[in-house]
Amino acid sequence: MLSDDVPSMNMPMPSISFMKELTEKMKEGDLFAEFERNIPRILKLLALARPMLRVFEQDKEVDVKRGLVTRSLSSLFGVKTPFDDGKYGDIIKLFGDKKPPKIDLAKFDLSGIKLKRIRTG
Amino acid sequence: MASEETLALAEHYLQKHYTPDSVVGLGPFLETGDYALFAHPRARVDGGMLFSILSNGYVDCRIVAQRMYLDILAEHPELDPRIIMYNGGVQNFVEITDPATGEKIQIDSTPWYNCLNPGLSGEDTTSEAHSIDFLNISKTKAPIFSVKRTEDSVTTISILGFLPPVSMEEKLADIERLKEGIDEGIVLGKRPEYRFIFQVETRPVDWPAGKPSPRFTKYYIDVLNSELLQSALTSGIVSARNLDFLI
Repeated sequence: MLSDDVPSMNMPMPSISFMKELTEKMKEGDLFAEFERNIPRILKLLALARPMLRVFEQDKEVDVKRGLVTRSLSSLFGVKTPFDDGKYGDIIKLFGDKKPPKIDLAKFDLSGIKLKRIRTG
Repeated sequence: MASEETLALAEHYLQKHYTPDSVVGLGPFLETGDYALFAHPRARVDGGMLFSILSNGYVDCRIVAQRMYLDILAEHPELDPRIIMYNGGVQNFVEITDPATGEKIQIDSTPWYNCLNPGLSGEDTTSEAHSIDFLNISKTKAPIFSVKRTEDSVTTISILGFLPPVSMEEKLADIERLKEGIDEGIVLGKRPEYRFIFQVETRPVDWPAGKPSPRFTKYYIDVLNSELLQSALTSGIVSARNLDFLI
């Protein structure tokens, strides 16, 4: 199955052309040929990518330019998570990042934040 | 050893539910189906998306197995057909039991195996078949985009799609800025609006079930400005021929 080795955003992402060249060098040309066969379909997929994307079964939309940057702490945790008790470890699980954060969450005042639950699909 | 009668029935259902590679996956469905792309409710956390299926016509290995299960259950319930689950998902095949000898037979009509007893494993269940109304596209769940079977190999494309991934430090730094009320004017780095990742893998047709594919690679498509892309698609500027120069 697929791994989680998605490159860091800090690394320059190769273009498709570059990847094609690289693939050919690796004598994996048939893999690219299969990808290339699907490009007309991929265009249909790209046609669905909008600046604002509505959240499934909800009226609100996600501004994809902002991506994961949230407008408020409550909106960030407005998902079904085990975060209700504010445990630090649960936040790590939520983000799925094994690397410990450099920011001490203890200094955040969560007392005034109303957490809400929504369906996760 | 299974009886000849049960083996004949297994072969019958294998052929009856044979599914060509040309109809399997999200790619073929994009050509004729009715669909929509949504952000997953967790999108702000993990960037996941949901591909909503609004019409019939989407086919994947689960659907092939579920159709066969319902068919055998209606026509030959004595074979005790079972849907097999593994890691939370329906497997490619349906398992039956020879009523005479008790031997189990696996029937797989998908392009990946298209044979009896492919050697796959999982937990058998008699759960009812479920309809599929959306596909989860995330870091850990990659729907099949297309499959191509030749005489000696099977090549599969899977898709992962993301809203832009942001590092843990960035996320928490953003939270800190928001807590301090400095919401507006946050300068973001050059993050793409969307990232679609396609994994292409190929393996020999007789490759052992469950063994990692010997050859694979990934292709990344970063959409830097989706508004501009939509405009270009509408005006016909973007085509399959020049796709790699524009995104």
